[in-house]
Amino acid sequence: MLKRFSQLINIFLALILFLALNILSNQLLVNFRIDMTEDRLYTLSNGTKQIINGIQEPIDMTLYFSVKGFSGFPDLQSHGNLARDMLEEYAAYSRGRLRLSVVDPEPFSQTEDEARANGIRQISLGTNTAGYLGLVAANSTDGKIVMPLLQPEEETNLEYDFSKLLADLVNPRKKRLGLITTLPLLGLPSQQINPDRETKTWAIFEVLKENFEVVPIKFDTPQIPEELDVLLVVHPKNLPESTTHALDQYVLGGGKLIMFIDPLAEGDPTSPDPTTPGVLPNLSSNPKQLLERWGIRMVDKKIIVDPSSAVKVNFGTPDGPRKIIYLPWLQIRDTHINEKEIFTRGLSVLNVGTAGSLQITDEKSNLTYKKLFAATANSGLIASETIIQVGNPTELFDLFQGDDLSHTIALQVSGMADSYLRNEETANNRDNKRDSGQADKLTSGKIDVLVVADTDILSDRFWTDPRSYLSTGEIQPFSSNADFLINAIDLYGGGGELINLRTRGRYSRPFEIVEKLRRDAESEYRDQERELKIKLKETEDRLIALENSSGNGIILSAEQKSEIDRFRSEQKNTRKELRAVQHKLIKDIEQLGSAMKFVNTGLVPLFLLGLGGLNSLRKIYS
Amino acid sequence: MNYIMAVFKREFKAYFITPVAYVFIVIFLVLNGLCTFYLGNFYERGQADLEPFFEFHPWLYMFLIPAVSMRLWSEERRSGTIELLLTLPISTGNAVIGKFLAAWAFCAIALVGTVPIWLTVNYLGNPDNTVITAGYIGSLLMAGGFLSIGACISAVTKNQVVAFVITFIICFAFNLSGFPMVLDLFRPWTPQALIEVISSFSFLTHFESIQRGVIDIRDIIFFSSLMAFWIYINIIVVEMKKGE
Repeated sequence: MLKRFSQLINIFLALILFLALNILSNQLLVNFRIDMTEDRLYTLSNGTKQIINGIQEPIDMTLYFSVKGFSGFPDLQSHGNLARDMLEEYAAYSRGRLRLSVVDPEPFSQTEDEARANGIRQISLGTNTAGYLGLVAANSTDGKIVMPLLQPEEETNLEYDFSKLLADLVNPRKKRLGLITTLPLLGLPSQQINPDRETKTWAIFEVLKENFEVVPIKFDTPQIPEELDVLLVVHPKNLPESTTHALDQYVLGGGKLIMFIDPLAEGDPTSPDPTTPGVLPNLSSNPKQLLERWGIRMVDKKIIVDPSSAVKVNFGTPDGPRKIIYLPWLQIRDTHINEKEIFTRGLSVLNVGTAGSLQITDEKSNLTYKKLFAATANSGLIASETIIQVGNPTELFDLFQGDDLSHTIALQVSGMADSYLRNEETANNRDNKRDSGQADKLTSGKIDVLVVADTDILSDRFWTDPRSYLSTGEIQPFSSNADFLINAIDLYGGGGELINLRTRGRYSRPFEIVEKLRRDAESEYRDQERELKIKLKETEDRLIALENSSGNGIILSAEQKSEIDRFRSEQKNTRKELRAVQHKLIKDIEQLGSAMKFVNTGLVPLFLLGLGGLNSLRKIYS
Repeated sequence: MNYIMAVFKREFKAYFITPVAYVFIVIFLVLNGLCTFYLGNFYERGQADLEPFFEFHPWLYMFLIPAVSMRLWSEERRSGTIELLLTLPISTGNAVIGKFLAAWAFCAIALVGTVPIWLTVNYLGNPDNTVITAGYIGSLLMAGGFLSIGACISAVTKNQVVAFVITFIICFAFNLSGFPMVLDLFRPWTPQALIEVISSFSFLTHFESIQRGVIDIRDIIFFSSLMAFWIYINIIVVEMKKGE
């Protein structure tokens, strides 16, 4: 009896010990963990540590986290836990400069009022209860920044958001970004002839405004304003002499320039001039004078096409919309994005459309060139006129010729350069200006310029879901295009700590085998498809000719009728063959899927059953 | 230690003599495959990671591990062989731990059988293999957790079915302990602090963070202490039931 009793006591004590151990460890052992992800998703990055080290005056952070209210909402709760854990790591690393308090704003409590007063957003949890998950950070002066809602979907950006908040609190001044453009980035029609054109602000402009103080500059400005941190030029079409000069002087004076040019800017709303029909409008920007001085050029009027990185687009066919590979729209990834350069490190996917090829013409010894991203070695060039005029994208395959060059789309040029004005001219100017009392013009200087041969990389549809942006203003990126630009501006404008942060995180890891299958199948069946389509067209043409030849033809001869029937059935058969070809494309992928399913569901069990069967057979016969 | 190994070896071999073990492994693998590919839409999803695979483990274990554990002690008690075991010159603790380890090793073998899906995902794309390793470690720990519960419960009763059902219910509760369904049971008569503690004991939340790729010491402590606790209770129960 006594033994029984003592055993029960032991059980009870063990239970207490178990509970106590877990409760204590939950509270105390907050930062003891190993981050096993390849991308180190859950470790404070160096950028964050740099920012924390830059904190001079203490900063108070309050995390409003309805931990009780969120039980039953596992994604909110785990996101809240993640936020809390991460902030605790920040605080631990800061050695007292960051003070964190985690508060549960219970319904009708004072802390709830406090949360709402600070602007923390209410999350409805049903039945008149509300939860909160937000952060307020304040420095010792009057600076205060609020993150009203930490969304679970933004999990991969959490560290960036927190670090940026701290960086902004420590150094509240936004970088001044000058903007010169002929594209309707700001939503204003610039050379608008077609009034129905979309005039909503480009999403990229919203991102720029959020991160920087954007200073729009007139296109024909004679001089770049002084107090800029970075200058962004997008689509400098028909650059006036004054602006060319201003840009030249700006970069020679050490100004940082990011320039997007384009042999064919699809975002350029210029319509054809009605007075010269048949002449295509000029949609290209190529400031040759400037580029030449920097030792580079963009191949004029030519677009990069690349079957190895082209994307599929929806294209209307007689048989309904189909996905067809569109050669000038490229998805640059992996080895073709320069991982070694800080501008492009960590970027996983860049989408470009009708991009130009940048080439180093005159390897100037004083200039350094860094290729940032490029098409694959299977790429080639096609005239931009051809791209505009071609009706069916598949025709481009016939015109395509690879040239074994990995055409560069973006590069950085730095080092000593000369002014684009020839020396005599500059000397003349100098004399004239000295007479009139103006400052000396620079003839040479240390430049640092980033040139990208595509402007469509900035348009909404290449990096964000257009529907969600147009309807709710929410930006959901599916490629690193915006990250690339913001990175570059941040880098040039100082604040390099933020660079590695933004591009961390889980972009997708797709099934590459399936993607390759798609591409291979597409090219293999493309030929078949083309032949069949030609046949179909011929048949249809003959059919039409026949129907027309019967004159006012309501009455057809028996012969004509039978001809028509024959052609009709041929047309039907050809269409059927075409559909079979298209069907084959999908079948391979589906077959792979089925094979995978079988291997994983059935194979090992079958193997084991086999083993078991053998075993029993062995027993029976032994 | 040698005694534990002796018990372990005997028990482990015994698994593979009967066809029951093979049947169990086959069922486990088939269910895993079906859940991953059909419920989890692994292929259609197009992402090279094993999230749709691991997300079902807590639920699969909830059903299947009680089936493994139910016979651990109940069978022995019912057929009387437990007397033989306990009269051997080994401590109860050795016997309990040996049996538990054998059962756990058996589950590990079953898990190893899922390697084809790891190979598949590497063939189809380029997944983060360290995260997947973490997932397997977490899954094995969780299996051990469920198993320790099941082993203890099977020592409580002679009836395997009863052992199965009770184990199932407890595993179910541990899975759902963060959800309102379970918390509402406790809410009327426990303080809020205890409610929070209960919700932190959910297998799902601990496993979820491991399979994300983060091995947090608190999760290790949770599973280890859970196993230690139930094994300890197991030992006491076996002692208590001696002679019955």
